[in-house]
Amino acid sequence: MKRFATIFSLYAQHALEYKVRSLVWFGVILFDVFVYLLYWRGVLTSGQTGAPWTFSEAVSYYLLLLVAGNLLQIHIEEEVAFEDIQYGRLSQYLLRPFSYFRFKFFQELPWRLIQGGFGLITLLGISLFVRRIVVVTDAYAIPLVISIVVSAYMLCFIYKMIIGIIAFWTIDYTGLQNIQIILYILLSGLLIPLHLLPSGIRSFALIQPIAYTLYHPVRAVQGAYTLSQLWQVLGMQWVWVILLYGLYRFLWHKGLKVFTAVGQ
Amino acid sequence: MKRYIRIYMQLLRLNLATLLTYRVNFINNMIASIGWGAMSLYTVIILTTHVTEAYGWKREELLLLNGLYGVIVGVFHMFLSINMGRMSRIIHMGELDGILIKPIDSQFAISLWQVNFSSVFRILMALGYTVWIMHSMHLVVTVSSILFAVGLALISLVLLYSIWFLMLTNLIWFTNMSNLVVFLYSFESMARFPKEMLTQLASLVFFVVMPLTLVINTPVRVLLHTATFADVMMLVALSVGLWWAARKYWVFALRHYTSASS
Repeated sequence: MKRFATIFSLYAQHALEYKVRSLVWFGVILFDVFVYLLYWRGVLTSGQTGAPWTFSEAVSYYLLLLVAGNLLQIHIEEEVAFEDIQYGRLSQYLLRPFSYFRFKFFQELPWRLIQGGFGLITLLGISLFVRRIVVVTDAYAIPLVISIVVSAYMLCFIYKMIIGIIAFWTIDYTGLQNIQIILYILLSGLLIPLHLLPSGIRSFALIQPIAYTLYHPVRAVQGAYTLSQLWQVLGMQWVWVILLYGLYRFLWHKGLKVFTAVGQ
Repeated sequence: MKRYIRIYMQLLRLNLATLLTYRVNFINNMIASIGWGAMSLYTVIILTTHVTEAYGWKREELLLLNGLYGVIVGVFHMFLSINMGRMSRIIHMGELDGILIKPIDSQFAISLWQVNFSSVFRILMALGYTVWIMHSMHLVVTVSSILFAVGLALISLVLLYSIWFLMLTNLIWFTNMSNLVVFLYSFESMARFPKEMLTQLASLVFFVVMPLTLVINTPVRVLLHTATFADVMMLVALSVGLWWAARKYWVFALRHYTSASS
């Protein structure tokens, strides 16, 4: 474990050195959140009938999404695909006496903590000086909510690793990366809460794995779920973690056989 | 000028040759491009599902705004933004020297080198959607109003390019911020919302974001017959002004460029 603590510490220094990059990534999500909130403000405060939610709910959802988007949205897939597999740097990792999967996990963690920190500071600032954000307060629910957030991080990490190692079989990864981003935006709740989607796609959107990386954790922190629903979310997260980890192991072993060690 | 047109024609041919060489890459990018276009349209459909109007714009007008956004931004992505992504990579990796020693204008070389042909499908899809929305709205459009809107759309492209180029020129000093391109894609998406949405912002933020909202809003207002002379003049003046500023800022920034070896 000590060696992974060292990896974490090294990449924490790296992430702190490039904190402006983190700030720009944070700005991307902040800007999206800001635009959607402006839009909903105009719609929900104009007194239209049949509005799907209140402005207060919208503020709470999008501000928590700002933290979750920065803390839980992993961006490791591009590095795995382009730098490690396509440029052949994976060879260096394969020669080292520790797991590539765990290395990447501890490499990504400091970046998420720093960006999540930016989100948390913004949320606290807004909550203290502008508008109070409603979050879960039930003492029995809080440990479950924390578990859901941690599980969401792990699930998102495994999902992004799978997306990254698909580069073993592709010469150009850009198209696939774009398709993945589109799916992620549509199915994670970044655009609109999944429970507000049209009924035809809502039921599918709520049970697929991407929803458990962002949407369900945000709703859990909002206090929108009962205790039994929280257990359900946690259970489903672990079903997806186990299934996706199995898929990752399968693809990893198959992929290594086609990896040419000098790039794809 | 003739020389640059000739060079650009040659670049188009080279880009086409690349496309024919990496066909699977093209198909992948084509699917992604259609996907982005579809997502943009889907976004506004979802956002307006329970809504009859927003900021004085009826649902159909918002859909038209997004249809035209797909067309204009599609053209921008086909000819310009692909080069902006390349620009950030070139500066970040210290490869700008290779551009500066070429016997052509560096802004031309960095802004127009690549063409993303796969965006054609996004443009066609958005165009079809725009025509369909206009038809369903029973909009009366004449040849002259369409030509006027197309002319304004071209001017809008100059404005969009100038905003992107102005911001990315800062990479000469802040080379690590190559992910600024991702931020600009996000920033650009504000253009598909009504201009009125921004009037509630603090004046400083409004001043920064407002030029972007003119990009799509003004041509759409022309089609809806709600554009004023002031709207059109503001778009033209900002396009010319920011294009001039982008050029001057680039020349200024190059004086401070230290190259990869420094």
